[in-house]
Amino acid sequence: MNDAYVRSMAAMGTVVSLEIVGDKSRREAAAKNALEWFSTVERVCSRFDQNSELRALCRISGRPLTVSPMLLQLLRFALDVAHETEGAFDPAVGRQMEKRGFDRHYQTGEQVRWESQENDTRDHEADDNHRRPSYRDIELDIARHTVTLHRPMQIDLGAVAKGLAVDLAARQLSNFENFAIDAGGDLFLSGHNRRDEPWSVGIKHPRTVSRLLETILVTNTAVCTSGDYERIVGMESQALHRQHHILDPHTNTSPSEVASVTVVADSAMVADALGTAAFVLGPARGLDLLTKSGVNGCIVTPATELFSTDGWRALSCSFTAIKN
Amino acid sequence: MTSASGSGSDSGEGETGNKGAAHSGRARRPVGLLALGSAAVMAIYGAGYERTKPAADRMASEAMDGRRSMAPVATRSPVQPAPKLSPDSSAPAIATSTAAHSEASGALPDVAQKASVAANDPERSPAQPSSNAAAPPPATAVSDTKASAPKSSAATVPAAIAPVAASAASAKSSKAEPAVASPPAKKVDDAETATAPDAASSATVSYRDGMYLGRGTSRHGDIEALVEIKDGRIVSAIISQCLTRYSCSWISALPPQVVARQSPDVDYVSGATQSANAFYYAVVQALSQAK
Repeated sequence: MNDAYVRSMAAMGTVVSLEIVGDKSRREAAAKNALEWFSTVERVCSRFDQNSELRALCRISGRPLTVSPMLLQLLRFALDVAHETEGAFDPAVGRQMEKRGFDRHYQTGEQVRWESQENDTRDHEADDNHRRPSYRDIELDIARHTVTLHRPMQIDLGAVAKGLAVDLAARQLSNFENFAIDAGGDLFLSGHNRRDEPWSVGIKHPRTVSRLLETILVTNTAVCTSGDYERIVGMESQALHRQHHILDPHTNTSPSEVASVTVVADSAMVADALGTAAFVLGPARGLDLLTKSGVNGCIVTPATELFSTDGWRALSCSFTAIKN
Repeated sequence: MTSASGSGSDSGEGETGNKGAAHSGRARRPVGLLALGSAAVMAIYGAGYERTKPAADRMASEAMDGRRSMAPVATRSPVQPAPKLSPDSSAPAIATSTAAHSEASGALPDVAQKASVAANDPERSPAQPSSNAAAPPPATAVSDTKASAPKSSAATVPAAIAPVAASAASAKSSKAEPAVASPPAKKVDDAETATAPDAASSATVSYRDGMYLGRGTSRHGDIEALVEIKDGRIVSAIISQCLTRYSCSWISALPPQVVARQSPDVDYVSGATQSANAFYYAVVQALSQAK
């Protein structure tokens, strides 16, 4: 049993914790620096913070604004995924998320509302019915570091920002061999655990609390799970159709074909984005996306049917087939 | 930590820099997402917080009103008359330069402690750079090496900076932080009012004639500046060696500013903050030998 150092903080609406196994030299400072990426990413990319750079960007539309490298690169990746999935993943859904009640800062409880700085008298509600702003209305100029929003919109980077922070923290710890970063659904696992074994990650049963669907053994990779059981709006969790934190941009409702998606990939940001897209696309098309993107994953339907990529079985150490 | 961020950003940034130039921001090949994502992460990690922060500030200002004049000249000027600095204006001003030049974070408190005999509570001054932040891991990594470069110049940096740093240090760091992000309009005013007397007085500073070399460090590499003094004035400043990973053409506008302003206080350069800072340190160091 190796000695391990654990450090936690509250960020991004969840508890982020990291564990460094062995290697006592300077690991406390390293852990602190790694966790600071979460605050940094949050300050730049949070939709819930009125003072974030993302919010500032979304107050202005119709002209190019210079943004930080972080926001530029993150938006660029989000748009890559949006193009790839033909909008199943779309960062332009911030307004829709707000309207559905995902509009409070997790720490202050303060409600945030998108507002445009322009004297835009257009009726945004009516606008919604015609054409909602989409990722196609976001234009990046990589060389000039600018972003132009061609329609007023609120961008939501929730599906990539946390993964980004995990990846950045993992890079920060790259001279440690054995560590784990856990940011509420987004994990990065390196080397081995305290018992010199590969890290084992339990995948939650999407319907039965405190029960694991299965356990996978992984190392040097990120594992991200999105479930419809997280962040449900209001108290209607028993409702037939759950309205949760993932939104199908085309239908403006939460997808109902999938209960959870777990993706295993080198990058938590990629895993999170692909998981979100697969959630929206549904089991069959979702699985296609994961496969062609070269990552492993497992999609669980509300009836707890499992759809997994070819490489998934190799990771699974306790495959528990659940029949309904 | 140092080695982690150093080696990490080295490989990462080079790669993504190239990629960034070639790639237009759209994935054509399905398998590309993993590679694109990893590239994005490395680019962000490589850029670190120092570059992220000033860009964010500038964006806020562009959003407010056209173009921002970026020259918090007053705060670092060797001849800044101390009385000019009311606590109100000085605090945000130093905050700006600290945040933007966050690699100087190691040096600034240092200066404050050395220069101001009385004022400084050593516990407080580290608190001041902490506004810069919540800070970027890479910043911490570099500040060690960074601090050593300007250290020699620290002695030459004027007493005037001490009250500034001290007042900023005693201001709550939480207060300094929003100040950085606040709209620039006011800051520009501050800078201008403070700059006017400064420019006049800096003309009176007399350097010893000669050619002086100085070197500034950044985590993207070093920059060596050659400054020529004639009749007590800076008559030329050039980048004599550019050892940064990126082309020094990014900061080619800076050397003439040294001559024009008779001061090392050059503008920040979007996307090349590190190099611009390195150049600033190099000039400071060169001028320190000319005193």
